[in-house]
Amino acid sequence: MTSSAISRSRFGLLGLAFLCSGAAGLIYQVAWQRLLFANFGVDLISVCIIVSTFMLGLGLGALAGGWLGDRFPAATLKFFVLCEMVIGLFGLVSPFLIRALGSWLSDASFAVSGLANFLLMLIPTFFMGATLPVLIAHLVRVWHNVGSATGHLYALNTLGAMLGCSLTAFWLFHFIELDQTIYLAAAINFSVAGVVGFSFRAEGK
Amino acid sequence: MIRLAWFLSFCTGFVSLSEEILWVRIVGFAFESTPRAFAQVLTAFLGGIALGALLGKRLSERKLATPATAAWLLLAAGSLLLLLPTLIASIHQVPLASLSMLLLILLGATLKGMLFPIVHHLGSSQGDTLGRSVSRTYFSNILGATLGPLVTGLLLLDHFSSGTSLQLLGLLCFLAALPPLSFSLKDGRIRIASAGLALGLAGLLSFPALQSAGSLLMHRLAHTEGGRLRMLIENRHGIVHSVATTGDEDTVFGGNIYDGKTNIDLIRNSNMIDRAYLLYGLHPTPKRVLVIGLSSGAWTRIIGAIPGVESIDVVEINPGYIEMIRAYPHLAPLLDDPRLKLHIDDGRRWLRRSHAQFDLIVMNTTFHWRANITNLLSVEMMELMRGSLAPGGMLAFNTTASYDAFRTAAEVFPHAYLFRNFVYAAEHDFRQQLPYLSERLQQFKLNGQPLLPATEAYEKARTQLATIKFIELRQIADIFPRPLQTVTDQNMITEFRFGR
Repeated sequence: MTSSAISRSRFGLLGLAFLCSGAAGLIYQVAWQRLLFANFGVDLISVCIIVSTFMLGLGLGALAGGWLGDRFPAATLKFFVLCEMVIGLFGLVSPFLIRALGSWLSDASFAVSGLANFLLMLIPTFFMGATLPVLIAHLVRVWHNVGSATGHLYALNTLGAMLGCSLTAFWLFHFIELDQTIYLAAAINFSVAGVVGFSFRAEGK
Repeated sequence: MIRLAWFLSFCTGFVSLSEEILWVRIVGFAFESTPRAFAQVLTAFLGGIALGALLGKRLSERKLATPATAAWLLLAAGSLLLLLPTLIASIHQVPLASLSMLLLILLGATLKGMLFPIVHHLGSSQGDTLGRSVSRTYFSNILGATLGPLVTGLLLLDHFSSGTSLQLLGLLCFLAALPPLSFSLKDGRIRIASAGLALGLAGLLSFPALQSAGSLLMHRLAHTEGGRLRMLIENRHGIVHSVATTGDEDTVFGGNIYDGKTNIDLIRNSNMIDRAYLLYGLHPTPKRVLVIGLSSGAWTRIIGAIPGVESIDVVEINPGYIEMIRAYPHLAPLLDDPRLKLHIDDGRRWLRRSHAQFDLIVMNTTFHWRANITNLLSVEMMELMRGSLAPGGMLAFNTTASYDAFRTAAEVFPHAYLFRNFVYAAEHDFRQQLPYLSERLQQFKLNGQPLLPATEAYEKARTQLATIKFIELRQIADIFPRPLQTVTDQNMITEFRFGR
């Protein structure tokens, strides 16, 4: 096996990991939205700002991920593991951070409060956004077809996101609390990082 | 080619997220905006994107990731968007309507999902700059997805109905198909490009004929409960409508959910307006009043008739109600009351920032199972309202028959009692005030005239109200089939565990 090739089983594992990563991402999004709504309000402006913040963070992260993938092609999986770790760590402290920020800025103007929440949410969404281009760069080197690699990874990640969204709204919120839901997503991130990191190291990469 | 891929990627993101915002509104309106309605839309949407990505992957493997394919996918997506208002209105009343609507969401998302791998294929270069080329195409998509909700949510919905907005997105898809069609023409694929141009042109020309389906979509989905739709106001904040039923009172709906009636008459009492009259019976000198949730304005009109009220702060999230109230002559004067201060804001956010103290806080808001209502019913909100009450102040709020909400109030206030579905809560036992109610009711005045005429029928109604018996929490807890629980921001039980 060459250094750029990955075995079929490892490839399947990577796909599963990316699916789980997508599930964690949507669990966070649904749960963080609830936390932000409590601080920020549930009017349309808040909703649009929150959705757009998530998107912009993903976009900026994607640019960084693509650049890192090119600059350090041999380290793409390490970047992926690192991203998952950072997202998980942020997840663990996010309930505290979001509430603390809300309490601290309770008298601030809407613009200041919006900007502060935007900057806070930029941290995890940036790392979430970086994962897709990093993995695409990794996979294209094996498949040599960008459309195919993108379609495959994006489908898995979005399928995970769909599962995460359904799981949260139809099950998790019925049985566990908001913070516990976020901790579960963090556990998924750490598991993904652990499994990918371990299998990556086990094959001598 | 790279610039074309970026453009297509941007348009796909823009249309996708805009469509998602519109679908959340439409499905929420059609099927009572429960938290599940939002999750169902998102699930169907993400499912469609995932399915589309897999199909797009297949196309890429078969060397079909071309500008022509992208153009035809956009044309298909545009055609669907243009026809959606007609389709939604026609399936709304059929069995499994919600499932059919989710399938429509899935179909639209699939078409956009198919584009994602194709535009990446078109916009990416193999080799050392692969990662950057992928990420730039992806970034274009995200940029569109960032702007989509802002443009659609804040601008489009302020000028157009949800149905028309869907159709305008369809037209955008037709226009976005022009550059890839032009590429195909240059590539010599004349027949496929010409057919695409013809379809796009047909779509654009059909818009005037289809436009009424878009502008009237919400009218067709609106509940009328056997009455006649009198007024429907749609803006970026939401949709309110009123229905003329029997008698000279209308029923008001917010987001297609019952929100109240325009009645202020104590004898008719079709909207249990006696709960508003009761307020003065429980607080002898309310000067500063806060109303969270204006709705039909009937409650605020009654509060304005209480003698001695000096200021009424009203926090309402949707200004559409103001426009609606203006159409009802017996309610409209409240908007010109110099004591009234209207705040278009989120109730909890406004209260947290106001630092004001009130003698009365009245919160007549929506059903306990609707999305995000936890923010108003939770113990955290109760604490906030308790801290905003002046000494001797009282809170009155609508539990909408959630006894968990009653329990939550009883946990925060030493005295919390239920009358109909309303909880009245304070630091002191306000029930001692009830014997004075009948006399105080005679003092209600509107435009300088007594609100309740001195007739036998009104005398009877006053007496009846003064003899009401409050229900205590233990009376409910003793007979309720499960232990009552406190609503918190964390558990959101009225929306999820014990929601609809």
